[in-house]
Amino acid sequence: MKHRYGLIVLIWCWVSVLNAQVILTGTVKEEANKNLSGAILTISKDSVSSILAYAISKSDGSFKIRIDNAPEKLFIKASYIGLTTFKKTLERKSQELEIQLRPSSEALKEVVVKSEIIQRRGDTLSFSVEAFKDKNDRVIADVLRKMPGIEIKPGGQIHYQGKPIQKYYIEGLDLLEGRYSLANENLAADAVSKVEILENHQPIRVLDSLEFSERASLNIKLKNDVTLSGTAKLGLGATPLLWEANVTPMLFNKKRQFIASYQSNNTGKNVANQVRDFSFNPEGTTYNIAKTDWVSLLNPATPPFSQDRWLDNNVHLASANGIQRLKSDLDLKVNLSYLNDYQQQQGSTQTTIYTPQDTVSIAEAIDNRLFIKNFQGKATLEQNTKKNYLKNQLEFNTYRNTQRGMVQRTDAEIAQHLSTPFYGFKNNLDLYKTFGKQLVRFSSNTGFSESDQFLKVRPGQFEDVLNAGNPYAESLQNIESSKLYTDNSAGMTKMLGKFTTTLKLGFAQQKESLKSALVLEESDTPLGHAFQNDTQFHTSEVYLQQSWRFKNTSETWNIRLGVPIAFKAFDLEGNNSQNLDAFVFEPSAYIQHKVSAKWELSVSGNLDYNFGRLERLYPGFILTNYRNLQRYNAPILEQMAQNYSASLNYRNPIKRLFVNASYSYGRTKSNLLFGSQIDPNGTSILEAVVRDNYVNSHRFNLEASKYLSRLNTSVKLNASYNISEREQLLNAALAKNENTNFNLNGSLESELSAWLSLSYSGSLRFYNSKLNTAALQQLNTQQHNAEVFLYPWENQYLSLGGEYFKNSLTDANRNYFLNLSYQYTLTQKKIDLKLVWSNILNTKNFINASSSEYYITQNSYVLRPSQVLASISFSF
Amino acid sequence: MRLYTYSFFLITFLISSLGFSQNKLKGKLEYKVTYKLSFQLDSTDADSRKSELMILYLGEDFSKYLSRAKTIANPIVVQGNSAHTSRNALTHFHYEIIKEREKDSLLYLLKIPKMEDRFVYAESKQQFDWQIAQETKTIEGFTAQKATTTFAGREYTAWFTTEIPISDGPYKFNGLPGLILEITDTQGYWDFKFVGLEKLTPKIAYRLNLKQYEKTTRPSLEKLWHRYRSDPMGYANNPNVVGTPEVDQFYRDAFAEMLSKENNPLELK
Repeated sequence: MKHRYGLIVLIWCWVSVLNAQVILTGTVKEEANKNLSGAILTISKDSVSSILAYAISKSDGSFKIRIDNAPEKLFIKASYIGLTTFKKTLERKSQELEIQLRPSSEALKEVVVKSEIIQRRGDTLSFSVEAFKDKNDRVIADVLRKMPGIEIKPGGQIHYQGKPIQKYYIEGLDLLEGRYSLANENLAADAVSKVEILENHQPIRVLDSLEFSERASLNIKLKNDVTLSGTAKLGLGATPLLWEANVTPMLFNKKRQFIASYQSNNTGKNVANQVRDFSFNPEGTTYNIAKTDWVSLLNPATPPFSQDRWLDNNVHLASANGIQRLKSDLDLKVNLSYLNDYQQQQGSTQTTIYTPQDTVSIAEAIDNRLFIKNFQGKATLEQNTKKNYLKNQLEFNTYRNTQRGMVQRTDAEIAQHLSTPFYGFKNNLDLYKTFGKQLVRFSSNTGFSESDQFLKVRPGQFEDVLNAGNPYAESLQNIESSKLYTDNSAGMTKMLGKFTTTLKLGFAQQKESLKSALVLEESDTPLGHAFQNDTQFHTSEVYLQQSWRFKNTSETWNIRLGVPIAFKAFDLEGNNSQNLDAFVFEPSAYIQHKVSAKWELSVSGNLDYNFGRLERLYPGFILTNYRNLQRYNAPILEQMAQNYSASLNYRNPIKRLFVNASYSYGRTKSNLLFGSQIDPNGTSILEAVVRDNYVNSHRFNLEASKYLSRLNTSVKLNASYNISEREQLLNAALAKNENTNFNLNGSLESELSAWLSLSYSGSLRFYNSKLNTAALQQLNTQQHNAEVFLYPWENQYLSLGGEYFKNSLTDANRNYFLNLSYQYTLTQKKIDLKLVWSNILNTKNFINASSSEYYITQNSYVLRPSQVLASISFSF
Repeated sequence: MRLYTYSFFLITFLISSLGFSQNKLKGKLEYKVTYKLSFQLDSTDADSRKSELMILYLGEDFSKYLSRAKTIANPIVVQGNSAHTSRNALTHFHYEIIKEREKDSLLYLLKIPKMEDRFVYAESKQQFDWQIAQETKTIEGFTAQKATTTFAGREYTAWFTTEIPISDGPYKFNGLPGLILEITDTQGYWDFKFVGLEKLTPKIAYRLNLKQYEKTTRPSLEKLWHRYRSDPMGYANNPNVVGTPEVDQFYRDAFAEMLSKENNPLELK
């Protein structure tokens, strides 16, 4: 019985389910009978109740809705944005529907976002120093390098997201400009509350919203309104007695800031790094007060590794920097620094010179002493408002350098003494002004420099040329040189959609003068005009530079085009007086195309003209070093250079494989050929000869890197091949010279565990030179470095590194080096103790070989002996 | 010659139509929906709660979802350059999600900040098994109905409105008979609230070239993103350029700590 009832109930249920389940199918169409996808179909009991079932129409407009437990009546609604909603009440039965939606003028109801929600959390990305600071960190640089995206390069330059930063502000003031390392490496981390990263920072307020900046700046926020901070460091070591000292006090408030620094060492550390200028100068200036040394000592090539292992110095550096905010937008800055250094260089060179007729060998033992005194200063007035930008910078730079050198040769001992004092002043004015909607930049750059130099060589050289073959006691080369220039321009930049165009019009004048005389002591015959110069060189130019840039929205194309034209006039007065007028057109083009996510292709080409400078225009001989006499008794050098390059880039960040292949070709045409007359004793005389000649060069480069995740190791390989051909004039014979150069570099970086990492890098170089068809000696060099780093405990750090150098000319096996560094931090007292033992094997010399078109030099450089240095540092 | 040319084009066409059937996406964006997303990246620290505005653009053929910060960081609009961070840097969410109306899959696009590396992965749109409840409430004047679902390891409650007849929502959420106005996971870690709807006049033209995007999958993109976050510098410079090892050690520790505080992503699984 029970079963029967059950069966009846079951059947009843089934029937009612059949009744209650309704399936609606159909299509939704737009007015023009176009199938409509994405339309929403809902079923409810009536127009006001909630949804029972729904469907969304497919791409062909079809839909299917299953309604379980369907009520008596079904209310169907079909809707789509911008179309009138279709509504219909249906009977409870499965059916097929054809729905058409008509356009509607009704828009969706808008809801305005309440303004308080939009309020930003502040526009500046800032990092709290506390969050990143470690107990080992002393100065702000230690903390900075741990912040995401920030990297500090070995020289002290700060990069953010791979690009150098633009400004380093302390409380919004730009005290040190590009020489920010001084603050960065001495400001106590404890004094800083926040580091703000100003991304896409445009320091010039007039340019804000006119010129997009890709570079970032940093602003250091201090904890207190008035901050006195600084660092002190003292190091002692042996042997000989070594010291290292650094005291850098600083004072900051919102309107006035001051940093002073005194640093001294004899450990080979280059303190000049702390005053190095990392300012970013967007337009390289052709005119400046750079120091030119007309005479020099012969010195052995410096080793290719860190200079604290070979530089024998005794340096003192004092620097003072102040900034005062005069008005809200007007700052005055003064920076002064004085450097005094005494350096010793010892070494020997073995030079082999190949001439078409002969091979000349020279062996020299070198002992040089350099005395460097440099005083420089800068006063800057800067006004930075929304309407105007003005920056005037007055700068001076003076050197009082003298050098003494002794060269030992198999047959003689030659003493040299030179002095290269230098004085230079310059003034830079930049003014940005808006005219209506157009921004115009004026720039005026004026400078003056003077340098009176001498070189004494004892006993006198070049007896045949200078003294009819008779020996004489001393030769004295005197030089007086000066330079005065002014460069003025006005320019503007305009953005037209995806194009940016820049226009600049300017004129420049430069007047250089050179007086020189070579005097022989104890000689009765005065040297003639051939050994004197009284030359004046004027350069005038008017230039119009126009450039175009294009970047499409998806950034797949990036095109730059430059079409600068200039009219230049050169006027040389003196023994070699002549004029040259030239109209120059130097177009350049760069095209970059991102082909796909992984491939990128770029090509570029440009044409450049070069004209002789006074350094290559004097008609009378100058003794530039004890075995080199030089003159350019020839027309003004004119060079035309064409350069083309193409590069293909593959980048797969997922597989971590990166490949780059590039090729470049260059061809330079010159009207002059420089020829050397080399004597068996190694003395050489350089002269220029009028003859059109070409230099062709090809360069192939292939670079690949891959990260092996399983081994936590990255591998990098680089191969390059260069070939260049030129004509050479050696001992009055014309020779065709062909050089080939093949380099192979590889490196490995491996993190074996959290407390152990390894690195290795090695390079092989093959250098071949051919004079006419005769192959000269081939030179191969190799170099290997390996380092192990250990972090056994948190406050200790140990590194051990070894190096090996070898070249095919010598069997010198003592080119091994070993260094050890150990650091211990006293956590409680905020004091760092550091112990460095360098050159453990006490390698005396570094032996290296280098090669050029027609000579090979083998160098031996006397290194710092094995030494131990212990240092203590603290910040306040 | 002609045959070669034709077959070249044909082959190119075939290759480009494989996998991602379409390399270019083009259209106009008509409406802008704004959500306030409040989220807690560190599940162990309630104070780590942050909020950001997110935008869902509705177009004729597709929708695009991204952080409001990214919509402002348009390089042509350079106002506010001086002493300001471009707001681009301030977002936690660098991705965009494209849902094409006629397709069953959605696209997750990611450009590595400050780099030219772009990635995309496709996923099914139908990841949501919605349960519609009968409850209703009013949100900003729209009648919204409740629905629930599970997604990537979390359970969500959503409120949608049929008055905005588009089956879309913030992030990857979609599939309801109307726009999702609110959606929150049961623990309240990820909470999207509707704060605005605006008709765009004129419409914004949008164009996407998928050829510039490297096709990948969600797991490998998540791995790559983690690698970028743990060492942006290393990522940027062909990963092998390393500073001094002692600095690197500090660097790694600092980032490991930072990333350990981001233990609560929207998609747990």
